[in-house]
Amino acid sequence: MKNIFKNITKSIKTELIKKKGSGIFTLSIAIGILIPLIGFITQIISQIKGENEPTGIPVNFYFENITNYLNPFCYLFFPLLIIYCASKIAQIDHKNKGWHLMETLPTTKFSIYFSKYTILLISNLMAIVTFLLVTLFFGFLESLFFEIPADKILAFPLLEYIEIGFRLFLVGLCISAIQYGLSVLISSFIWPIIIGFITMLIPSILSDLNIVLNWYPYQFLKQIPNYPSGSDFGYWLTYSELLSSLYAILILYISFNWYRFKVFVKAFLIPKKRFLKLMGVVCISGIFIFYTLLPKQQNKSDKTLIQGHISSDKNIQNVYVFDGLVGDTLAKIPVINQQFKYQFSEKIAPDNYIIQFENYTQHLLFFGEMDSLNLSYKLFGTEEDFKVKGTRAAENIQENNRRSYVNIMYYLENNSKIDDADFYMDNIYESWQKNIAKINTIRTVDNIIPKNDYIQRLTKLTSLIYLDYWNSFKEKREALYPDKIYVVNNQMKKLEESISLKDETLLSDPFYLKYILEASIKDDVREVSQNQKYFSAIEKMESGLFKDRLLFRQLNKSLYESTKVTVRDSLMQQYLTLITKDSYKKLLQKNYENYNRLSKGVTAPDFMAFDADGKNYTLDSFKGNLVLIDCWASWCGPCKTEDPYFEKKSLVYKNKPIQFISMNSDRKKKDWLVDIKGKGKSILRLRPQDLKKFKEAYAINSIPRFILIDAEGNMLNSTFVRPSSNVFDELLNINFK
Amino acid sequence: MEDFIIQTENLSFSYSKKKQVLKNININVPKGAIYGFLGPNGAGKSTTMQLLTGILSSPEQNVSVFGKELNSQMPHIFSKIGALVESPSLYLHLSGIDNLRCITQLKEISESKIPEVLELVGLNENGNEKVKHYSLGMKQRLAIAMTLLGEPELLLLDEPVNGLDPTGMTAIRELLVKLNKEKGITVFISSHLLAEIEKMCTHIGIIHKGEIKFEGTMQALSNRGQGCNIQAETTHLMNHIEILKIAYPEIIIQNENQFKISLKSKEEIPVFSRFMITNNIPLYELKIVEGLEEWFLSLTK
Repeated sequence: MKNIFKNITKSIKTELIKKKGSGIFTLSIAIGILIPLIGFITQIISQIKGENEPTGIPVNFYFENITNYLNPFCYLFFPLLIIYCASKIAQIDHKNKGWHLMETLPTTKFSIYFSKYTILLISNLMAIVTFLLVTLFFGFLESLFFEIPADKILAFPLLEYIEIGFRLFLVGLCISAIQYGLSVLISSFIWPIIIGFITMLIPSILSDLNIVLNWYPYQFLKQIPNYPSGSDFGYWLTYSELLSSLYAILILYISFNWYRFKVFVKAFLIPKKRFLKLMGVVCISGIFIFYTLLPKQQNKSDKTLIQGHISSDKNIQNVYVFDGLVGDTLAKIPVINQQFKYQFSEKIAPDNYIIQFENYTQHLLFFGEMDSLNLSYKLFGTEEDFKVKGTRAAENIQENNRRSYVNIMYYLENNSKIDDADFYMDNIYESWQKNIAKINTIRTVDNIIPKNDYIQRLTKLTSLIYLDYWNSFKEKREALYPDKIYVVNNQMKKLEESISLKDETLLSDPFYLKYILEASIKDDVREVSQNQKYFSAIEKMESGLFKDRLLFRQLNKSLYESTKVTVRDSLMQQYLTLITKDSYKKLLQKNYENYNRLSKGVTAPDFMAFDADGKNYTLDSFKGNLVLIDCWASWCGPCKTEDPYFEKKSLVYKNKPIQFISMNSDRKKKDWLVDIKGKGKSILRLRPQDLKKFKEAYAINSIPRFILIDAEGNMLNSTFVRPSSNVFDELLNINFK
Repeated sequence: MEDFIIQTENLSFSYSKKKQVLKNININVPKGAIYGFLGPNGAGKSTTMQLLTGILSSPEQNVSVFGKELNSQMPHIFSKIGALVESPSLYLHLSGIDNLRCITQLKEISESKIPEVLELVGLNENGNEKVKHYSLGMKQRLAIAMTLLGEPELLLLDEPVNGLDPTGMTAIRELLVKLNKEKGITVFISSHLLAEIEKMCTHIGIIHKGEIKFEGTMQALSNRGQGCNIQAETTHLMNHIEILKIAYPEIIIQNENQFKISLKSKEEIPVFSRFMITNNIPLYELKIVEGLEEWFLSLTK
């Protein structure tokens, strides 16, 4: 052992002499400096231009910098550096026939091979350390000479930096071993570089096709910028780094022996002993690699628990958990010291629920019985961040619900190619399969995949979307080319069969309900309205959860859509009693009252509000003018999007008898005052005296919301279109006499 | 029994199944010898060298160096051996001194030896220059200097004088002889030209097409030479032909000035020249036309 160490040290010292003038370490340092330098320059430019405004959620300044720089570093510069240096280091001996010279000196082949590999690792380490230190240094310089936005935390994240460096180094082990092995075996300089470059590009090419090779060495490198904070469980390593180390051992074993015996056959096959040894190493490392690569599913907890941490510049006192469809409140959790915790005692079916933070924002949350979730919610200004850890971490990755663009939608909307059934069938099938395949790529940084209930559910919901496209194609085809016959292929039959009409697990999904309803009236040929058909189909169903949900949905929709109080009355009379679930009934009753209260022609609820100067207004103040109220808050992103449109419209209608009002609902008056500072006078900017009362009176459950009231103070429309809509003018103009 | 530094016993080697490069090679290099390993290009010299240095390994373990099997002594045996294989393995981007530093580092000897060996090969003024700016001769000499570091007991030199000018060759030869005499270093040197090395070698091994054709001392080789043909030039040969014919009846007349005769050995050349002088026959030129070289060439044809 001592000898090995001595041999290696002297070989490394020799290598350090040999690499003189090859520029390897200089290049490593240059690569380390390059990205932070470019980043620094752009930062300085934006600082000088004054573009460095606070954006919202407080983040660590130094950590944010390194996160930004990790992408180019990991995707391109670091792997290229390894590829180049590995080839360069091997070339020192290829070019000068140095291998033979080294081998006729008192040092082992082992030390020769591994001392060169060590040089490569030192080069990697230099690049990593320079990268981290220079990022820190430039960050520090920036903080010295410029003002860093208030939402940046300036503490130095030492541990996080070390962890990133450590992970980079470990991932570098495996790529270095591969490239170095190639460079030693192939005596050409350029070929290992070309091979390395191509293998490096493969994940980027495949990711466009939604293929993620979790076992692929260059993929490990991408995990670092993708998950700069590392493991969800706070481990120092994720499975990628572990795999990289295992790969490195296996590859070094193979490539070293290949180098030692020069010929593959001699190194591994001919003396049986060497073959058995190889098999042994391959098997043992294979087992470890297989086990590490195997996706894990998390165990259940012994209780159903939701807890979390909130950080926000707003006062969030309660967190609500709703049933997705009817909005039944399952839990109202008080927030104490930014923490909240709630244990469910009742049975909770695995499903998507809605979690709402005070009145601010909502998020979907998938969980069920015996799940223990740990949430983190951040809301600053209009920026928010929601993360879920715990037994359903993989299920609640926010990107899961994102779908790729489906081009068939475009054709459907434009009624093009409807005559070409094959085109639709092929495209729908292809897109369907692609999105189903995507579900299987969901995994966390710790190689945890969702549990089967979620995968099944998401698979069904995805199928449902494509089934909907398919059904809508069939309808259009029927309408446009009733005589043209086409043959439904097996793929579409498979799609149709993939969804059952009696799937209780999907009941919370509005899309599924719509699908069932449409299926249930397919054979109804009566000359009545579609709603009428829906109601009669539902009436025929057996009572139970299915019927309750469908009826709730249908009734609520009809109540909302009808404009007359009398119609609503008859609907309620006819169908409310058919619902068995009390909470649904109560909810419908409440909605019914709200809809009535805000029906067209009913006197609009009065309000008391004040402007920035403290002047008071009531609804009466605007008699003789139409009133359009924009309900908004400073933290609400979509409201901000509507803001310029609202302002523009207020100028367009300047000479018409209409008052544009923006009604703020921020919890803190200060937020409102800051936000409206310096804004145009064409809109009257108000804030209710009693926020709660105003919200209840106008049944404001979500914002942005636009309310139109006529000149006499009667409701015209309690949910008017947004000013960004292209029918806004048309709908508004009919109200001017 | 004689003390052999290198011994091989029926050493055979082939790169592929079809072609055997070496067939039952037996080499015996006694301690203190300068052993010339001769053979035309492609005879298997380099392969043998590579086997002796362990760059190629013989599966039968039939190479012994310093009296012990070679592979068991790898790689620490190289602290006692200076090897120059496939000349010259040099790091062209480094200076001469840095090249030597690589060796001192691996042989674990003091860097203070570097000026000594540079002096020995006459490169003391070029030590700091980059090797890529060296001439071919300088490169050869540096490569030899590298083998000399660490006081080796054995030098294995593959074609060390290849590409050198006559002065350079002589210098190297003198150096090797000096090292051999003063320090008792055994030298194993390969070449494809007999003339290059016959002046310094004590022992000779001749390889052709993978087989050893001859092995023995220089003396034994000379004896194998059996006689010596010389060619001489005079004027008006016909005037002297009678006298010559009496002393050397087998004289062959080549033209009006030149003739050839056969002697029993080289040692008879002075006798012949004295004969010419005493008989007042002008002697313009005298050269061996069929010596060892011719014999060597005939061996390897």
